[in-house]
Amino acid sequence: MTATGAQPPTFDPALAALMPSASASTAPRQRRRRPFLVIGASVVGLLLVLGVVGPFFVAGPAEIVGAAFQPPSAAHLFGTDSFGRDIFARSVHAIKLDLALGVSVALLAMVIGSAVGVISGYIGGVVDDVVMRLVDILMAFPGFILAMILLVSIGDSIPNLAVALAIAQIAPFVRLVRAKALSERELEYVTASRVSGAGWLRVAFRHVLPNSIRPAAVQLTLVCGYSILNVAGLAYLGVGIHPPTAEWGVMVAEGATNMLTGQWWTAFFPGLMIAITVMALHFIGDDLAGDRA
Amino acid sequence: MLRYLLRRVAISAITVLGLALVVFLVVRILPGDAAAARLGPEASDADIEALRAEYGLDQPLIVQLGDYLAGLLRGDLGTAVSTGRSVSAELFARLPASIELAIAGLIVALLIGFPLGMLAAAKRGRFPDAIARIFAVLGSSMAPVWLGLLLIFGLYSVAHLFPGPVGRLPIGMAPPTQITGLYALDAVLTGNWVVAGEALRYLALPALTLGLGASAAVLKMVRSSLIATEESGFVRTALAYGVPGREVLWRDQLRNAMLQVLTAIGLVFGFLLGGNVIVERLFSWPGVGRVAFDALGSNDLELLQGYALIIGVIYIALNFGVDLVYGLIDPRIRLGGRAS
Repeated sequence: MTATGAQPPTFDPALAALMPSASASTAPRQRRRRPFLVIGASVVGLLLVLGVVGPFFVAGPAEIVGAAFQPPSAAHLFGTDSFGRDIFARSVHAIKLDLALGVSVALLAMVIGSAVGVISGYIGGVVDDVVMRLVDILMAFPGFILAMILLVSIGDSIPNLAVALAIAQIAPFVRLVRAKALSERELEYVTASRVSGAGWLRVAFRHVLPNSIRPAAVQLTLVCGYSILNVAGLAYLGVGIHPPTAEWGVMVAEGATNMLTGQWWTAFFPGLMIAITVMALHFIGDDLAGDRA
Repeated sequence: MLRYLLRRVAISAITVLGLALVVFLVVRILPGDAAAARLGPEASDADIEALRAEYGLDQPLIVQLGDYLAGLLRGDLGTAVSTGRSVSAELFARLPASIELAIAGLIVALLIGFPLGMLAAAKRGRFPDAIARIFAVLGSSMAPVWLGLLLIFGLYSVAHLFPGPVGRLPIGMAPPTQITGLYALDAVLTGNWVVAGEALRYLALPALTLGLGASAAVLKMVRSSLIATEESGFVRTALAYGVPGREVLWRDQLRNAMLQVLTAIGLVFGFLLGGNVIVERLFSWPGVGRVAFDALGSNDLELLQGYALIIGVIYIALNFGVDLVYGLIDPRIRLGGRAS
């Protein structure tokens, strides 16, 4: 990778995991089966269908369908919670919100991060130094803590939750796009468009950005997954999404105490939905990242 | 080496200053009004103004910033409104509990992640590699709360192997004489074997919850850095000379991969220390994460700000330490890449 030569010596595991190994492109092409991609994409597809169509076929998210704490049965696949609401129905209603949050956080972080990254990498010099120091500072927090503090400061609401989570995830996008832009700007097509009179903004965004965005795009599904996990974590701490909203993290939080008293299903199934969704997104992301080696 | 050291010190210092600025700005400038948030929706305007004056929030921002930075230099992080104690006292008293948990979590993560990562790299593309990858994805796909709940349910509620989520020691048991603040270690140092045993039993489930999640990251890093060394000339040469693959893996690849793995371990430790708000709440573990959770509940921005700063500084210090060791071990780095 030419880009790594320009990196500071700090090893970045997130980057390394995303970079295809050097030999992947030079080794003789082999017939590749991609089971992880197929599994991941199928699961996400299935969830999308269930998320859109499902709500028409199950009980309402707040509807009380019977006695509280019924264990899983044919009538209530995931059982009922402490209010007698159907956990399967609530889990299905939650798909839309959770996926929408994950996707919007990832897209927002990518748009902002890539724009900053391409400017930083293309212009270089002082701008680049300042941006990289800022990125270092952002990365001095675990993303979850940063999102938590931001959310509390800007006020607890769902749009703010998306913004806070996105800001916490900007840094890897900046780094990925910047690294690629650094090597791209030395290539001839950039010189060509410059001598033909294009301004720096045009060169950076019309020419360098499209050629530098791939590593960031690969990160997209992974960030989508982290965000769903972070939404759940924040819900457990009582910020972000609150009960009685049907959201997986909220449902896990509501069911947490039942786990100690034996009603394991109240927290188990919503948490399982999170795990399956995030796993599917990881499978897709890992495959696109070329981690198959 | 001196130049490398100075450069690292300068970068860390700038980052710490930047961190303090960012934390300050996030808490003071963003739309939410700290005083209004603290007093709740029913507070009168006069009350809010009084509180703003008490904490200097009515001063120009630049004055506030000056006060804040001057305070930081004296080690003064302000006063926690919810408890009335100083923020630094509040946090430092709880730090040992978090460090104990993070170390235990790191041990779990290394014990699981390291061998699996080596196995995956050695059997790359084959069955064990696929299993290791599935494990890694599984580990990073579970919400920490959920993983902790599953462990509590399985190993406490059903199997009764470990104690429930009630903190660091059985209720009523006196903690060991404080030396390091790490209960298990202090108990061993003072020869208090009963307490040492209990402390370890109570540590097990939260450490497992933290460590299982982090083991996935360790596994991935060990695997990818071993594979990266596999493609370098020295491995090819050693193999061409007929050195058995197993020996090359242990002697040459592992030693070179250690550089990256070391950095990774620093990062993982930082994450374990900072990212444990959830686990500390779940297991009633009285660490800094628990302080942060309580501060969230009582809207204590002063305390949250101090928490963010301490976590950030620890994180930067860890990175700095790792960079130093990195430079000591690998001459290519301290020479700024000129040797390569």
